[in-house]
Amino acid sequence: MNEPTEIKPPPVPVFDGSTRPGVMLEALLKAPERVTDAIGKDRASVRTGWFFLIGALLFHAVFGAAMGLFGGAEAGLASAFKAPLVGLFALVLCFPSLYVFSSVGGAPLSLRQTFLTATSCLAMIGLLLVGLAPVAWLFAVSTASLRFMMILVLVAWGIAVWFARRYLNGIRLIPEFQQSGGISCWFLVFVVVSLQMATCLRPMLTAPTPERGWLTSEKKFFMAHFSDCWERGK
Amino acid sequence: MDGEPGRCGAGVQPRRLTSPGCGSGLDSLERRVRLPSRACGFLPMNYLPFRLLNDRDTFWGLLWSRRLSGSDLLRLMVFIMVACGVYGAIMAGWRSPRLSLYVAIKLPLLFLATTAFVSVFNWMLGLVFRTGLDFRTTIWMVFSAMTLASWILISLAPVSLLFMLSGVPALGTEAELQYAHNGILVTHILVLALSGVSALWVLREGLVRLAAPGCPVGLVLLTWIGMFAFVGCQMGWILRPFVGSPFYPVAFMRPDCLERNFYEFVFGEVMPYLLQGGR
Repeated sequence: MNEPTEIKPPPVPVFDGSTRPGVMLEALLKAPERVTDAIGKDRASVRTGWFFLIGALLFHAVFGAAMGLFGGAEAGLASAFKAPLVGLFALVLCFPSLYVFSSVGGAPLSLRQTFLTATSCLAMIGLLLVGLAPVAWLFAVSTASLRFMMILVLVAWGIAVWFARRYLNGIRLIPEFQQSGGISCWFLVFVVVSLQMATCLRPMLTAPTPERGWLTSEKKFFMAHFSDCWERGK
Repeated sequence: MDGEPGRCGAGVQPRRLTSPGCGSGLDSLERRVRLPSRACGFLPMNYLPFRLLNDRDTFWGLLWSRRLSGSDLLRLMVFIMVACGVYGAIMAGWRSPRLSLYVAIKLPLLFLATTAFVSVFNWMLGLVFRTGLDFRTTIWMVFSAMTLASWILISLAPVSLLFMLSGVPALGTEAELQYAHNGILVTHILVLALSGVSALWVLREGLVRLAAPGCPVGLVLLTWIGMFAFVGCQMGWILRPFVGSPFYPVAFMRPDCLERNFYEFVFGEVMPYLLQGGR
């Protein structure tokens, strides 16, 4: 009679200490603390930051296309362009505040570290969003309820943001960045700016009408916009 | 440290500087506060507001060893004026370019005037609480806090600009304008509150580093902040409008700015209104 073979858990992913962009992008999901460690110890290159940024924009485009299909093919195409722009503009507008907030909070980042932190954070959001894109697509093509789609997209984005927040918290493990209150505070600003940017680039879920084109010039706060969409979705 | 401006203060717990009279302590301090000769990238790290932002350990050391001059203080003031001016211009930009210009002048004035009004009393409070801080150091600490608040304002200027350009309509019904005004008002209040908290953080850090051992740092900080808030609210009241209401004409100052004070308004109108359930 054969002895039962011992079942072992799968090995924990081990990274060889490489800071190549591809490895770093993979590490964002599998071992995010390794990315924060490389950024904190200034081992990651600017090239990695650009890689994060391009990856983040592509991932946002995929999610944008998936959710935009709710409004038809045209809306899907438009959202594939708009979703990355929301992330990109939010990042550009919040870049100075990340540099200043981290310094005021007592964990000063250099310009390179600021760039890497911001882009890796956006890449993290993008990665999670691309993971949720099939779910968004499934509901986008199988429901007619605007309210439901609004909630779904906000929840998906909220989940991605929550993971990005958790990733940023990891920077506290590095002794020089233990006082990361400034970075946490910045993240709140980033979230609010992203919501306002999404409002600014509306409509993202519905197809354009003759009165409202692909972009609207009407000025609105994001809370007023979401409230109007909620009412309209009845 | 010389080669790494901006890194030496990272993540360290606040520590009190020892008396400048101690020989060995002074030597180590001299080494610690020596200005680095090269800049970091294209940023002028030797520029004092940058140093205050990135390397406060060195900054407190420079202040403690009296190596900061009047012209350095002037640099901080110029930075405060420029940063607050830029933010002020954005703050009122939604209402009219004229009000934008007015607030670009008034916001720095509010910061500097409040500091000027409370400095003497804050120094006296420091004496009463035996902080061991002289007038010069007190002034420097207060301006350092204001500089950090200005850094926060200038860094959030793009965010405020986004909200101004995309969130606030210049035309609309009365209800829409009221909503837009309230929205932009809350945005700016949050930004200013954030800058105030950061200033508080720096003041606390400065007191922990520079005040004499055993002095009640928390109490000193509380009284200083109380004084700032008390005077700052009234200065803001006199210099209003800052955001600009769509229902009032654009003016540098309101005609009734000196007729009553902020606290008369709060306790005479706001509180009774709230206590009567908004009727």
